[in-house]
Amino acid sequence: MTIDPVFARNPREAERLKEKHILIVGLGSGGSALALMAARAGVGRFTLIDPDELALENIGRHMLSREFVGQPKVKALKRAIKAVNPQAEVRAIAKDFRAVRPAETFNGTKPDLLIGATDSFGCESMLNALSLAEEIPAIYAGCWGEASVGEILYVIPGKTPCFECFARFRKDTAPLPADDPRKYTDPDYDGTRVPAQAGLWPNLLVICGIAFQLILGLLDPEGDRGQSLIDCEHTLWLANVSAYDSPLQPLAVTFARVEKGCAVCDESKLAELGKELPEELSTPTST
Amino acid sequence: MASTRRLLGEEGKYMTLSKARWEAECKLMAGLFPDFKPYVEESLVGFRGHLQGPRSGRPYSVVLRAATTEYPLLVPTVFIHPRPEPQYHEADGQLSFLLKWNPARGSFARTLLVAFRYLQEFDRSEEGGESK
Repeated sequence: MTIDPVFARNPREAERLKEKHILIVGLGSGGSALALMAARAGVGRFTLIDPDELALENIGRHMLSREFVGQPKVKALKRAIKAVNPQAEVRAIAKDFRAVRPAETFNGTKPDLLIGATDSFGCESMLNALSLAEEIPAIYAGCWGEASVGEILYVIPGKTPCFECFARFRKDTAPLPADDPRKYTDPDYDGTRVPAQAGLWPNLLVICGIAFQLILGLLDPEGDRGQSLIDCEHTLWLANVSAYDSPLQPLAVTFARVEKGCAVCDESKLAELGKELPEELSTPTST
Repeated sequence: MASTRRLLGEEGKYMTLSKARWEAECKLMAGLFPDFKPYVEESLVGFRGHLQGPRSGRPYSVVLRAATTEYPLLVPTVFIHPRPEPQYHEADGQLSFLLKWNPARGSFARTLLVAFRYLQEFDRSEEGGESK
């Protein structure tokens, strides 16, 4: 069987990935990079979900360039993926993931991996729910501190902690906007979106490059990467790119464990719901 | 557990609220706020009750509402009637607030804190000042 010359430098990966289907939520700087890494590695099927159009301020750290400004990111990315691999099947859904129905998401074929590259905690929670319900592995990649530190979490439903097991920490520390007048006027306003921060594209690409190794491992669990990287114990990877005052070693990955089990993925934990209620709620004054 | 979540709601979305979670929420509310009663209306669930204005002493009707296709992933909405002030309400009348929300720790009881704090801030006595 002949292989497309585009994949002449990675024929082994291309052969194993050509039938794989990935779903990416969020096609910003991280999601667009991961999508094109996947296309060049040989992934054959894509579902891309993002409601936004490409803006000029995206260009400094996005795989797309000025010619696509004003177009939905997912449609422009579809063209970019097809330009790499015309055989790839790409579904582009220009919607907020919170409004997408499961049937629309799958269109008959269940993805092999869900990728969360969004700045919205609400969308990540929805993606986690989809991952748990359909028992599809998921990976969440993001960065903090002007892209000086990357954070990558993978989830294998039933075997590892879920996104919410970890996000109990992240959501308490994220810099969400205190107030935004759009929430009074825009019914689709998402108050769980973390505002865009400064940060260099190369920093993001370092983090995406590391995340992509995990993506390859999750897509091919029997392969070398799957066997070496996916241990279901160290599911949180922290990559220090340029936070030189951080205790994490620069230009290195630190592996961390997340405690497994929360009220979302483990019903035995539901009794803990009331444990952390503020004191004022323990002295009810309802009439 | 997974099979429960695969049930589709009216909009063709997942029923993200499991029966066990709803029962846990009802138990928590019954323990803390026995006067707030649970309700289920088509694809919406929540609690209704009254809170007393800390200064005016007047009863405020409070409704907590969530879609079974979104809860506990997204924070419930809160409605308060009458409105002690006109500003902090969205077009559909829901209270506009920001609550750092975690589906694994958040609850309807926790959301009621928003109504508490709102009334602490905006409830006024009939004379307009703070009552002693």
